[in-house]
Amino acid sequence: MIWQQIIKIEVKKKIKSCIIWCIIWFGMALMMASMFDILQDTIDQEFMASLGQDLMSLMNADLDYLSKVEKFVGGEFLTFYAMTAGILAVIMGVNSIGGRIYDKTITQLATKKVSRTGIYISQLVSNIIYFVVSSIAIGILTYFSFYLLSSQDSISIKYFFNAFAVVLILEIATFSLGQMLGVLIKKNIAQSAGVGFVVITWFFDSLSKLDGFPEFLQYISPFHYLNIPHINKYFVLNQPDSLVLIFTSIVMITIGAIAFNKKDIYI
Amino acid sequence: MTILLKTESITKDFGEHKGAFDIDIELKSGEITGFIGPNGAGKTTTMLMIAGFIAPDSGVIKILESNITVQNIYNVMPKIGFLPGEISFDKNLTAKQIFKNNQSLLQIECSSKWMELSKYLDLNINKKFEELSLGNRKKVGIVNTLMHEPKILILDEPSSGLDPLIQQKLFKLLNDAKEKGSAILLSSHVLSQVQTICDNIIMIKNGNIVIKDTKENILNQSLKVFRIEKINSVYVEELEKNRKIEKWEQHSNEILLYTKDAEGVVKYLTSKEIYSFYIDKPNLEDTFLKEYEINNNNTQL
Repeated sequence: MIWQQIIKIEVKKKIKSCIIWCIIWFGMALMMASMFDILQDTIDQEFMASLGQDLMSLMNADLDYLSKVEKFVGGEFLTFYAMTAGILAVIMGVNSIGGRIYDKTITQLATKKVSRTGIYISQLVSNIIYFVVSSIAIGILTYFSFYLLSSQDSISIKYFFNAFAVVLILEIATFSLGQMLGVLIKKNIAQSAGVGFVVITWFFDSLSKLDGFPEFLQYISPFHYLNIPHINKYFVLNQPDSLVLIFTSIVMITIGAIAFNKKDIYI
Repeated sequence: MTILLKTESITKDFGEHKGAFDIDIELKSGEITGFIGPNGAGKTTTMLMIAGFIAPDSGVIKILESNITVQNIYNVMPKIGFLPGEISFDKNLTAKQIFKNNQSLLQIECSSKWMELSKYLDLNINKKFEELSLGNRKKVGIVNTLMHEPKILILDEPSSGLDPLIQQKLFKLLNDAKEKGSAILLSSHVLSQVQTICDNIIMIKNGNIVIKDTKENILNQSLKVFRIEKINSVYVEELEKNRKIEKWEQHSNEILLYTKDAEGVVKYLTSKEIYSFYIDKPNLEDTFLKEYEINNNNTQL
């Protein structure tokens, strides 16, 4: 099947970028892991309590924030990893179809025996492979960084599995958003709109935890459905929230694929 | 000869009279059709409709007897070679990687063909696409388009950016494809080239086809130019009055008479005992430019 060949070619092209992305986050994980014991020794519970509930919520932290590696990862690492992964995914989404139309390389795919839907889905699948591989690699590297550099005896694999799985779902959702925007509007506008949406809704999700901030805004944020506090508490992802992300992704993929099927490609 | 591609009144209207309107084209096996017209006339729009990149607002496209839409054209894509006006590939790939990828997507074993074509066109296949000059990028596009020996070739300005030697080689390749039964539609602004290699000519202007015929017929019906050193102006006026000539030009040492009725002009001149004149062999460049002048004048009137 030709779409399998497209996936193979696309995945091959992404190997270098995937390795760089993993190295960056491995470096971040090493830095965080080496900080954990130092922070644990210097910051006591009284100081944490003095931050107040609002500020701790902003950091996805609680009073046990520094008592366990898992909660520290949830508060310090996961939030920023999710945001940058979301930005990367939305950019990759825009470039997968919209970028190819813009730089005219879509010709190489649109002149083969593969339907427009096949092109759309093969781009999606090749990027999902990228996200899965990078999530597994970064998850394992982060786990071992904390395992080796922190003084905590045992670290929950279940926690890491669920935390990185939910970020993977978020990456697919933001990729789907970027891919759909790339088909519906011009590349540059789609890229700005997609990145803007991710950054703004990340702040919405964080700020909505503060008193007085309109609570409803958190529901339009994909980061709300990561539900890191739930993972920190139960070590499993919140299934209904994850299903919302998956369902939204399917809707955006469907809209994007239908629009691409009818789209005029000016090259 | 078999009709491989046929369009019936395909139209794409971008508004403000921009686009392509009621385009009827037939491409037959073993024929090269030149598609000419000024910039913005609608050549690329037409080609993009035929290649399945743009959906026509109305009309029918038939390729190999199947009705084609943007959604189903992929079924006949292995039979089509499309060369866009602007060549673009992944800039980090070498020409060799581009051809290998193209081959795997075409699912046709044609490595010997793309190697042969690259060698023939003197293309360094180990250079990255971004490192190649404009002309060499064009060569990558040409090899990529011809490597699977398609039955139908849609080529948007294939010779632009190529040096004269490579242009000759390209025309040789197109003639070979024609000999093997391919139907070729090529757009170009170099009318002398079109005259050399094309069997049929389609002229498009303001989105409408203004001339569509075989090259022979177009040249036969085109304006012939009579060069006369000495002629009484009364005769010229009489020729014009009797509509024997379309127009005339006074140059420093000669008068040029433009006519479609060469026989009539010869008869008239000889009746006036004027025997010293030359008739230029018509060429497409003159024909094309003059046809457009006439069209422009008619539009202005």
